Amino acid sequence: MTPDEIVERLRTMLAQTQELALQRHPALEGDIQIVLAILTDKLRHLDPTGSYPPPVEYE
Amino acid sequence: MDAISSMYQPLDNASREALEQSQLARLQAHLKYIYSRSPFYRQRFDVAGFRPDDFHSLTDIRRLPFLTKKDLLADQTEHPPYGARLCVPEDKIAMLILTSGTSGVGQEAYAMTRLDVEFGGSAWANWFYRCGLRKGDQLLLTWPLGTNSGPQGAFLGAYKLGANVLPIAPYDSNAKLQTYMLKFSPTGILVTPAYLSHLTVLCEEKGINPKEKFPKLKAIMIATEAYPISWARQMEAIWGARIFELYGNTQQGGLAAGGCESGVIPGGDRRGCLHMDEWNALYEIINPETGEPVQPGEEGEVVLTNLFREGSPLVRFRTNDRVRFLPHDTCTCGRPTNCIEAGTIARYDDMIKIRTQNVWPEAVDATIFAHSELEEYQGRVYVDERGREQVDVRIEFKPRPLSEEAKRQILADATAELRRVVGVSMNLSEAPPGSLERFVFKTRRWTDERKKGLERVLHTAGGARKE
Repeated sequence: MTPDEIVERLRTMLAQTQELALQRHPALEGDIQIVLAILTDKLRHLDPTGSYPPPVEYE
Repeated sequence: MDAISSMYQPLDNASREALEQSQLARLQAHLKYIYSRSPFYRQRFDVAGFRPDDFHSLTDIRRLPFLTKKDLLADQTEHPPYGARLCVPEDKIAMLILTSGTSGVGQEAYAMTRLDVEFGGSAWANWFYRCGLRKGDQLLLTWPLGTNSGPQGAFLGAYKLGANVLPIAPYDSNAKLQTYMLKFSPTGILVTPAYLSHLTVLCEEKGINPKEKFPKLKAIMIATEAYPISWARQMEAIWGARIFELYGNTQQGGLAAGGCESGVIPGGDRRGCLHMDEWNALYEIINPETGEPVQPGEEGEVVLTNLFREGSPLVRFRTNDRVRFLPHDTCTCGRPTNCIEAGTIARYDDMIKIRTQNVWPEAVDATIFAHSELEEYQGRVYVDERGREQVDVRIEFKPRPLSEEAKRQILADATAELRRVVGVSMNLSEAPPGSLERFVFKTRRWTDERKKGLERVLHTAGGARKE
């Protein structure tokens, strides 16, 4: 997998996780925000010059 | 040069130009975010006649005023507990970080969101990786976990790296050495320079050769104090592991600067570099008198602006930290980030870092002079013959009739109060009347003799051992 493909895969994961977080399911609350933060943080590091989700809107 | 070890190649292999473009884009977005969310910053920007949309080059940052600890504390007093600089609703706060130190001066409060927490941990994980540590490595943390950022960040960073992390700060030195270090044979250890000296002396006393007993140790990671080159060279020889240094501050939110594969003494005879984390903060190194940027090789004060920080961001914060500025190409590793010199980070103000705690002399003054029987004092921080950081405080009583028993009780009370307020144990003793200096203008009650102590420890312990 190329670095670009990894970034793309992370973006997909982030979008899916955001969708899931919006369900506000009690079993996911807390943990799902951590997953969102990890994915956003990874994207910022792996794609420093590209576009990335703006701050605070990752949840 | 050592081979570059990188967790994030896009960051380490980027050009200086790409880094600055990224800084500009991130800062443009971040300043808009701050302006729209924080009444504190909106007011400051408006007074300066600054609109985030007008931010077109990194030098535009100079149009904004400097921010000081005093500004932050005043904001917190007016809008407790986080101040009006808080940019998120309280239900997004995942962790509270306080600057270490004292109630005498005041602690800055930083609200951390989930993303802020992850970022802080990632900065540390990235640096651990650069120091040669990997998933599964056994990492010993000797810094006490509390509400200050350094130990928290280190713990989270080790966790995120996938290291086997052991926070051993609560145990005494014998237990640290015999129960944990000898038993688990760490590959990395996070210590202060003085504590590394103490462990070295302890090993010597117990007939332990660190190089033989800790064969897996590959990285000794240090921070918080300046040290001589000879000390670093000797410690690397005794422990058979490389020393890496970091510069951290709560205000940056993670790890402000860290050494690379070249270590703190590349070639063994000169000071190395610590790379500033310019992907996540804009650093200005200024002349504290003029506010103008210093030239390469000169000393200056670190001023930082976060490029990301959701909860409690800072814009042009004056840290009071004194560093020597080195441009990015000083280091042979090829990373695009500018550097500061290893081993020489100090302060412009009177704050003293003791056993990872920020100690403000004003707080000690307030505690001691709360006792009306006490007249004057002098404090001395040093490394004793066993390599331990010690704080001696000699105190003069006012010339009043006072029994020996009453004096002993006052000193015992003050000792307990200092431990509670400042967070550091100190040895208090009575000084003869009139023996301590009185101050007419600038009060200088404290001396820091630790650097001298580190050199002396080399002779009393490991210095005797053949390399």
